[in-house]
Amino acid sequence: MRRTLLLALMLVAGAFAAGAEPLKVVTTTSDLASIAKEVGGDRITVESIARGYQDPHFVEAKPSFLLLIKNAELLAVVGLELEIGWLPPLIEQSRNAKVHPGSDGYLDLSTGVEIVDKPTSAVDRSMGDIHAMGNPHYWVEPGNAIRIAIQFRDRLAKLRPADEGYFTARLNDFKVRANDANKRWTAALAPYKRAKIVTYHRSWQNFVKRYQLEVIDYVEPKPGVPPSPSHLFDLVQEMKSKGVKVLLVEPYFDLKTPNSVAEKTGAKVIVMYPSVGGAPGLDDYFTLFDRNIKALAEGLK
Amino acid sequence: MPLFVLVFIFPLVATAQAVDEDLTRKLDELTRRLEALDRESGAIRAEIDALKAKAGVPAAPAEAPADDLTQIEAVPAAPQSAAAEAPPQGSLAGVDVVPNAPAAGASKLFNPDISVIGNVVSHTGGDNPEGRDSIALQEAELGLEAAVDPYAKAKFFIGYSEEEVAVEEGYIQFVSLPWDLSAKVGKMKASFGKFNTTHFHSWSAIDEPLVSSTFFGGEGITDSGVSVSKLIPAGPLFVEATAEAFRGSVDGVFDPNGTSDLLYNAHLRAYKDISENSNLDFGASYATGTLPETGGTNSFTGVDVTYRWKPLSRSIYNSLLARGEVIVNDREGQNDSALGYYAGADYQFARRWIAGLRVDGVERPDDPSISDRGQSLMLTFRPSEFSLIRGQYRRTDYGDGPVADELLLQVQFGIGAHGAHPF
Repeated sequence: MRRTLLLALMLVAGAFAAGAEPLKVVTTTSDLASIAKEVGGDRITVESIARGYQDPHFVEAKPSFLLLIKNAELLAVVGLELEIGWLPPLIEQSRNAKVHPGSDGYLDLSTGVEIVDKPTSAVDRSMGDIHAMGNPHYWVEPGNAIRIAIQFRDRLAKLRPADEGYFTARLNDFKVRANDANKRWTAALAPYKRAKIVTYHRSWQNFVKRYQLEVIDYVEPKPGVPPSPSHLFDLVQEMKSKGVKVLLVEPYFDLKTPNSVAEKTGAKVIVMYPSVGGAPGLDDYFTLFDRNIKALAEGLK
Repeated sequence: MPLFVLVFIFPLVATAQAVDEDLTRKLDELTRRLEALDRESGAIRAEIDALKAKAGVPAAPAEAPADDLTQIEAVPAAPQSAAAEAPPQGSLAGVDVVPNAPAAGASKLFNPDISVIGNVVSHTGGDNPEGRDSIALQEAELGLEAAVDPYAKAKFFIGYSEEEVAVEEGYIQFVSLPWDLSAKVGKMKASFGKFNTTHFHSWSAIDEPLVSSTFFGGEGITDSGVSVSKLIPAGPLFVEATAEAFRGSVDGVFDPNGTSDLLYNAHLRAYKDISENSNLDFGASYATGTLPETGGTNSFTGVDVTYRWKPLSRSIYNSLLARGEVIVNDREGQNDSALGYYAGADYQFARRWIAGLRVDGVERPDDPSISDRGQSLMLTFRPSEFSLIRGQYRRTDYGDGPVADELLLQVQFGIGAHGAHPF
């Protein structure tokens, strides 16, 4: 109640404040946009370049995105080379020095989150599309969502010092809601601790660590490499012998291969959405997780 | 003692007594609190010891390494931070940012991004009018790229072929100019149409269309000079205007009469998203310079259209690119202008497969009554982003000669820095 009052007060105070234009934030993915909005509220406008139902590795460097970045005051990126195939030429041609790496208008959120799958030996491309600095799909874990939010608060406050209190209040509110929601999510998956699962791409490494599930293998033999018949044969044997019940697939992968694996093993294919906007109704981080956790818990039953 | 003194002292004493009592009370209170704290800290210490015992950490300070080497275990190759190793808790209350140190190899101060792309082409059939090899490493392109300073980037593309080594492009690009400007200085491909700006590894066929090889020679309009481009605000439409001035020396196409005789090029590009899955790209170009030998004016006018389709949710499996370009060449001293064109489409029908077709034709600039025409079919297999295997069947009807049926095969591979995906 007190929090709500405080928020209301700040909103009113904000309305009387200098009437500054909302800060223009552009994010590479919809998840960053959703969390930026949680912190920035009505003091920012936010637009995402990639859609939630699109593979974020393979976005096209369209000139229309260039116009978005040209007008941005803050460009927030996932980093860890997730956007390496398309973001550098957009920034380069944007004519917006404010958002070049190293500027206050450029925020690489990977610098403050928990990262898994950091390579432990020298990497090369024989290992597939490996990310030399760690797994970039770190946002699918509520602890990291909070870490992302904290970084947004810090940067937004730096760019708009007058609104620091507003951003901090919203961050604290987000923290509380994320914590409450996580209790619910943890409870929903608690009965399936150590459950063995298979995923298509390595998109859920942070997620399975948080909820203590065990990924025994992937549909892709190596990151970014399409499945081969011999790998699929081995995968089917492994899934059968270990009693794997679910196979998680991102919405942008073809379901034909996962379905045939599921048929041979009796496992269930679950479309798991890694990003906000992956399907209608998944409008923010909370609805995204509610949906994924529900589908996963039902699949593991 | 005079009474008046007493009158003064009594309140003082009374106050002192009161202060004394107050202090005693406070001291008692403090002592009680200290004792409570002491008890609490004891309990906490016990709890910590218990936790440590549970986690297998010796409660006592670490001792000298044991002599018993059989107890030694492998050190994890990359020790992760404590935060990363701690088992996740249900509560997110204490979550804070994890400062990630950049990887040791992340610095680009001393080494630019380096890439090498090899292009092997095999050729069979036809009368081999260009004296093609049965198989050859046609080109190896070395790419070097890095930021110069906060204001500029530099790019070098050096082409190694069996005959020569040449700087194909080498320029500085100023990326933080005012008024939505961007500028390049150095040797570069002129912004004339689409094909002229495309490196060989982004072509959708093995060869270049007839219009390009006939009008511009093997290397296209590539020259030393200055390029300035500006974004023009037009609402949702992306409009970019480019003006360029070059030395004016392109083998067989342009040759300047002295240092003030430059080659000028202008390009206007308009781009529009039709939907999130498709877009249209228009371009108009005009280049004018001086003809070799005769010294007359040699000018080119071109228009290009590109349609792209890529359904976002299936973007790694299906896409279509259709493109056409028409160029007219006017040479001073020649009554008729020569017209050249190509039109083609590439359809990605599976994650790693692309089928393409192309028709092209050109009237020869020195005698526009002779025209050459070609038709090609391409099939491309891309094992990964970094390699491709392509076959092309090409039929060329030369205006003054036979019809050539040829089969070309290409293997292309790149190592080093991950370049941007072509768009």
